[in-house]
Amino acid sequence: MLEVRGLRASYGETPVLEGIDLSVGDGQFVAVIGPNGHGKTTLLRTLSGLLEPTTGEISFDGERIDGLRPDLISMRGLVHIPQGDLPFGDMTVEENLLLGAFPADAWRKRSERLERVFTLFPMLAERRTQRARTLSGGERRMLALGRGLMRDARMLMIDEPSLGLAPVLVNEVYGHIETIVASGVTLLLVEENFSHVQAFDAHVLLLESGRIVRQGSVAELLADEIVMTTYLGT
Amino acid sequence: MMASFLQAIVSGLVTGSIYALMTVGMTLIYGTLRTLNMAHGSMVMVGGYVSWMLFDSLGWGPLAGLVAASLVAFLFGILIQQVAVRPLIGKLGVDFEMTAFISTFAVTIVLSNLALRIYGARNKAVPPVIHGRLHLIEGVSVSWHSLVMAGVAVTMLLALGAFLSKTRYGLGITAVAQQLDAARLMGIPDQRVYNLTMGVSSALAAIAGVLLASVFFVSPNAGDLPLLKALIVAIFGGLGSIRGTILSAYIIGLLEALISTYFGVRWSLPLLFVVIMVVMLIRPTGLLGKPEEARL
Amino acid sequence: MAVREVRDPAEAARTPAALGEELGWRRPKPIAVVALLVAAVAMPVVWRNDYVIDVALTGLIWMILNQSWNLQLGIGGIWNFGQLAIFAIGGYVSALIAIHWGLPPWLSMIGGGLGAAAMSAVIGIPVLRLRGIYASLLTFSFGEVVRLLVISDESGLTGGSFGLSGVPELAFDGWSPDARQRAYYWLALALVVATAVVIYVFINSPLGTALKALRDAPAYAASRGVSPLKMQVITFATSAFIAGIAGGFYAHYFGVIAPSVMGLGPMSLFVAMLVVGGLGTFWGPILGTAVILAVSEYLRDYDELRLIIVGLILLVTIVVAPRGLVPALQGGWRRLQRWMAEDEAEREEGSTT
Repeated sequence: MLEVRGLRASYGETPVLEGIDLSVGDGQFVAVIGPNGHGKTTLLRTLSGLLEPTTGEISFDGERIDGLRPDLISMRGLVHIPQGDLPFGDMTVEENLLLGAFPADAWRKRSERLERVFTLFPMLAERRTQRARTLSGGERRMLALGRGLMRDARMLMIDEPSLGLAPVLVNEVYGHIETIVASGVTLLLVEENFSHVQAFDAHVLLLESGRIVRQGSVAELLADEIVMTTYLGT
Repeated sequence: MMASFLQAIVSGLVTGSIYALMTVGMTLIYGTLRTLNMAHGSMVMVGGYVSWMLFDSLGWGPLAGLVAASLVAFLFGILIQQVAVRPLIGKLGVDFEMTAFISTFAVTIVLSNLALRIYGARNKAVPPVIHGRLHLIEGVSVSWHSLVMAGVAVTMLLALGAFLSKTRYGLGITAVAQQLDAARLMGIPDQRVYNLTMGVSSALAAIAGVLLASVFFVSPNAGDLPLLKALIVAIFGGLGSIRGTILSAYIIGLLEALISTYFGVRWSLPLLFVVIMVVMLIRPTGLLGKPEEARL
Repeated sequence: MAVREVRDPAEAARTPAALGEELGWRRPKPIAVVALLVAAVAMPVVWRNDYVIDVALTGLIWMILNQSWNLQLGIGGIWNFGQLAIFAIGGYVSALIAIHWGLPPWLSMIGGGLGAAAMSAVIGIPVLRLRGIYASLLTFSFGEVVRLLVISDESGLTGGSFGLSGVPELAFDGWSPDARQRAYYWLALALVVATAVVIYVFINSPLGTALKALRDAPAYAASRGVSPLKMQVITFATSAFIAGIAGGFYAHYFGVIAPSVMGLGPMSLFVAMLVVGGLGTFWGPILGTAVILAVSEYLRDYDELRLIIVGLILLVTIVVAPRGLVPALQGGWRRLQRWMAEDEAEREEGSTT
C-alpha cells in the first residue's frame, strides 16, 4: 500500500533522512523503532507532506505522492496522527473531532463517526463541550487518536503514542491501538521503546541516524542477540 | 438629561454594531493569516461605490447593493490574498507581519487612487434603506435606517458565528488559525481557506460600506476613517479574538457616543485614543487578545 | 578608511565573495560618497533650474525624515507608523515658538525637535511595550488622531485644515530669491549629511550594535544585559528629534505647515521611499527618497495616476525584493564580482593546462 524508495529529507542544511526504503502492505502493522533525534518524526512528516523530501519516491496505492500538499495526501486516506497531538486548543472536543471528518464523504457520516469514537473513548464523550486546551496529556492523546478515526483512513501513521504519558496511560493507549489493529486498519507506528510493540504481530524497522539498520518480525528481532544488545539496549 | 444619556446609548449601540461588522473581518484575517489587512478600509469604500453605481445606473436601492457589494468585495478579497499576501508567505529573512502590513497598505493606496481616477473626488450620495425616524420616548429617537444598519450588522455577525462553528469550511478557518499543521493533516486545504477568509471578511466590510454610504457619502477616501476605527477597535479588543472584537466594538461605540454627547464630537477620537493608550499599558494585547508569536 | 591588503591572492581567489568585498565593494565606497557629495553640492550651481532645485530641496527634507524613520523602523525594529505626525508636531512647535515668542527660527527648530521628542516619549511609553503589529496599529492611529485633531482645531492656534501660515524665515531675510533658495538647499544638504553622520555613528556604536541584537535576537540580547526599553526609548527619542528638526525646517522654508503633510497620501510616498530603498540599511532611505521622488516628479501631471504607480511600485518591491533596492544591488554587485572572479580563475586554469 505504501512504498518508499531512497527517501532523503533535511531541515535546512542538516540532512535527517539518508535514504529510507520501506513498504507497508495492505492491513499490515509496521513499527519504526529508534532513538530520539534520529529521524522518526521527520519520516512521518515527510510521508504526510508536511516536509518536502529532497530526493526519493513515495507511492501510496500505486500513485506517487511525494511533493504533494499535505491536505491532498490526507484526502487520499493516509492519515498522520502527529507528535504532540496538535489539538485545536480553543475549539471544543467535539469540534476537534468533527474536523477529523473534514473530507466531504466523511463529513456526511460525521454523526455516526462521532458516536463510534465516543463509544471507543467514553472519556471524550464526557468532555465533548470542553475546550481541547483544558484536557490532560492522556486525554489529548485520546483526542488525537479519535480525530484520526473520524474518517475512513486507508492507512494510519501514529507518532510515538506513548510519549510523555504515565505507564498506566501508555497501556490504555496501546489497548486502543490493539483495537485499531484488530479492526484491520493498515498501520505505520513510530516508537522509541521496542517493548511497546513486542506484543504485536508487527514488522519492525530499526531507524538510526536516518537509516534503516535492521528489520524483521518481532520474533526475529527478539531472537537476534546483536540487535537486542546494540540497538535495543537490553 | 436622562434623555440625552439614553440617546447616546442608542446611537452608541448602532455605531457599535457597525464597528463590529467592519472590524470582525479584520480580526478574522489576522487570526487566520497573521496579516493586518490595511486594505480592509478600502473594502468599505468598494461597497459604497458598488451600491452607488447600482443606484445611479439602475435606480436600485441599497438592499440590492448589499448583495452585489458583498460579491464584488469577496472577489477583491481573493485578489488581495493572491497578489499581496500569498507571495510573502514563507519568505526567509523578512518579517511576514511587517511585509504583509506594507503590501496591503500598498493595495489601499492603489485602490483609493484608482477610485479617485474613475469616479473623481466628488461625493456620491446613496439614499437610506428606509426614510424617517422612530421615536422611542420623549427626546430619544433613532432613524429607521440606523435600525436597519444595526439589524443587518447583528444578523451578519450571527451568521458569521454560525458559519464558523457549524459548517465544514467555517470550522476549517478556525482550525487553520489555531494549528496550521494539524489542519493540513486533517485534509483542510489551507490556501482555499485563506481565500475564503479574505473573501468573507472583505464582503462583511463591503456590507458595512453599503450601509454607511447612506449615512455619509461615498468618496475615494471613504475607507480611511473606517480603517482607523477598525484598527482602534481591533487593538482594543485583541487581534485575532472575535469575541474580543465584538465586545470592543460596542464599548468603543458607546464611549464615542457618550464623549460626543458630553464633550463634543471633536473630542471623541482624541479621548478615545487616550483611553486606549491607557488600556494598552495595562493589557498590551487588548481585552481578549492572546500574546503569541508570528506563525507563518 | 584604510585600504586592506589581500595578502594571499590564492586564498582570496578561493573565496571570491571576500575578494569582491575587499576590492570591489569596500574601497570605492568613500570615493563614491565624496563624488556624490560634490555632485550634490555643485548641483544648484551647475543646473540652474529653480524648479529642479526646489524639488531637490524638498527631497532633501524628505531624506532627513526618512533617515530618522528608518532608524526606528528598520534599524530599531520599532514599528512606528506615526512618524509623519511627529514630523508635523516638530514643524508646528517650531513655527509657534517663532511666531509667538519671537525666538530666532534656528533656535525654534531645536525647540521643535525637542517637542517632537517629548511627544514621542509620551507615545513611546505604551508603544514600546507592545508587540510589533500592535505598535504599528497604535502609532498609525496616533498619527491619524493628530491629523484629525489639527483639522478640526478651531481655536486658531494651528490654523485648522488651512494650516499655519506666516512662519518666519530661517535666516535669509532680504536675500534675492535665487540666493535664498540655494542657501536653503545647502543648509538642507548639510542637515542630511549631519543626520547621516549621526545615524552612522549611532549604528556603529555599542548602542547601535545592542539595538540590532535586540531586533534580531531579543532573547539573546536580553540575556547579555541589554535593556530593551532603555535602548528603544533612546532610539525613539533620537529619531523623533531628527524628524522634528526636519519638520521645523520644512515650516520655516515654506513659511507654512498644514495637516496635509500627514495622512495616507504622504504616508504612502514615504513608506514607498523607505521600502524601495531598503529598510534597515544605511543608504536605503537616501536612495529610496531619490528614486520615488524622481518617479513622482516624472508623473506630476497625472495626478492620481502618480500615487497609483507609486503604490504599485511599493507592492511589487515588497513582493519581489522585500528588503529593498540597496541589499538587492549589493547582492547583485557581489554576484557579479564572484562571477568575474570565477571567470578569471577559469581562464587561468585554461592557460596552465
